[in-house]
Amino acid sequence: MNRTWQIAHAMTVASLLETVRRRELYVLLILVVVMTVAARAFTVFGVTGLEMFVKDMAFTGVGMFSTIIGVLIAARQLPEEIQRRTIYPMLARPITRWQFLVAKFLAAWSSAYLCFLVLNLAALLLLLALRIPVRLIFVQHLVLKAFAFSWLSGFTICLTIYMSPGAAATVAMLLSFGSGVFARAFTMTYVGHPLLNIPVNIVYALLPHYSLFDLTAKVVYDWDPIHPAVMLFLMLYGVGIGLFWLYVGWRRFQTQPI
Amino acid sequence: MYNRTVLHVTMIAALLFLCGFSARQALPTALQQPEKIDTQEVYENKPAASLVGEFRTTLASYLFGKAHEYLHGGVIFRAATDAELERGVRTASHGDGMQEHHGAVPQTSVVPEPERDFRFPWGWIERNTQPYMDIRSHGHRDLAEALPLFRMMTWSDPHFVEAYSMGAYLIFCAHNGKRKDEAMDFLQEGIRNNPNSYVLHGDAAQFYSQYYRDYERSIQHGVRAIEILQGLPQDAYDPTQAEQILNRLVLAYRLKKDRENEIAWARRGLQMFPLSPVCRNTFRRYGIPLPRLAPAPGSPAGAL
Repeated sequence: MNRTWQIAHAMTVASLLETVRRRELYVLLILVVVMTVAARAFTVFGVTGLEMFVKDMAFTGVGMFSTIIGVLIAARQLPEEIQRRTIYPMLARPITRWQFLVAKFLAAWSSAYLCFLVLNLAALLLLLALRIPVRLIFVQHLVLKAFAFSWLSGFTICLTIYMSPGAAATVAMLLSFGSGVFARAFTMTYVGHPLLNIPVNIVYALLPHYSLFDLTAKVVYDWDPIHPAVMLFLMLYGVGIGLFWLYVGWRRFQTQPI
Repeated sequence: MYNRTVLHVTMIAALLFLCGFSARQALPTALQQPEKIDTQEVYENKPAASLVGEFRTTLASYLFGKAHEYLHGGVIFRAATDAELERGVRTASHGDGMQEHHGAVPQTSVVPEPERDFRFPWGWIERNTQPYMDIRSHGHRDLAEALPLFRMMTWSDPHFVEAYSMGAYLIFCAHNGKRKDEAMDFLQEGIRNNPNSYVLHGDAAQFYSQYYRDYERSIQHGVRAIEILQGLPQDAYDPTQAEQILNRLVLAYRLKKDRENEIAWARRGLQMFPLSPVCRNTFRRYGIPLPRLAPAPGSPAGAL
């Protein structure tokens, strides 16, 4: 276990350095600032009372861009190691493939979440500078999103084992952004049947539920904090479902010729 | 590094400026009325309009949707399906006296209520993490919060009649009628941009009558709205709205104590809406027997 942590720590540092080197975060940071300032700029033309709109733009931008960067970080973890052939010296050491995969997962997870925190910090400072306050639910939003990235990282890494990096990133983005829409379509069309409800719920649990972790709308509209039981459930579910997808990926990765 | 960042920011700013400038210039309908020119024709004949013209109307529609969200604290509504209505799904209704703004089709919330949600515990989680409320007899947030969006959507699309209509109504409601001049200015701007909109003339007729007691102007707008309705095919207007406009016109004449015109318009109104209580009451008030009118052929508005 200690060994896995050591590997994970080294890979996390490498992943963060790679993210900084690629300057993806800077671009997204600039876009968040531009979106927020542009929304605020309407006050110059005499439109006042845009606080909610500005907050909406800022946090919608952060949510969208952090998801994109999260997918990109996770999607390059394995393929780049294979492409650069750096995976060979690593696996030549006493590291199992499971340890390697878990370390990659933790590296992707922590890097994506750090980017999310940086983007949120920038948005928060900008909003406070514009005298637009946020409420306590914002803290819950930050905590819960950490577990959303668990699903996102595990799922995307799993996809990169089964398909090309480009396809994996595309599918992961589609399912992340579309998870809410799929859930809506499902509740609209499936009426519910006493005998089918239990299996349907089990299958439903495996479907992407990225939107369930997203408290952006409640943050924007200043809702009260959510119930701690809901937080706890989502935390456990986030870690569990992330590891589940990682396990699905590992099943193939352990026998996959590199 | 610093120079590159400055370059990127400058490029993004330039791109945004270019987009904004093109959008401002591109939509020729800014100077043409939708009643006079087919929108599709504009997109076909004006290259620039096809580039960003649709963007402007889409932006306005997006902001309209956002305004609905703001009014309901982020709770999203959607039209209920026929199957859902049969199952007795909860549909939106107002509990704070605000007029209907959920369209003609019954609406329900996107996040389902507990009794029709088979998902456990997912339904419970969603109702906690996403904005959710019981939509029956629901209230609204501070209406003033949504007003700036109406300003922005009418800038984006000056022919967005519903935005002018609802925006003016919200300005009245949000400030308990204290900013009625501001609301009327907004509505008049809408009429200037859409002189052939019966909806906006109908609204102006109502506001002049209700908030200003200026029956002369109310009648002017009411008559103009009816004139526009007469030229429209039957499927181009909402009959309920048309009846309301007509009823208000009759009432405006009544309040102005212009009996002759009141009876004349009530007679014309009964041709279009034989069951109109306002028109029928006019005859009852003056002890005049109800006229026997033949049903109007073709468009009901044509009968006026």
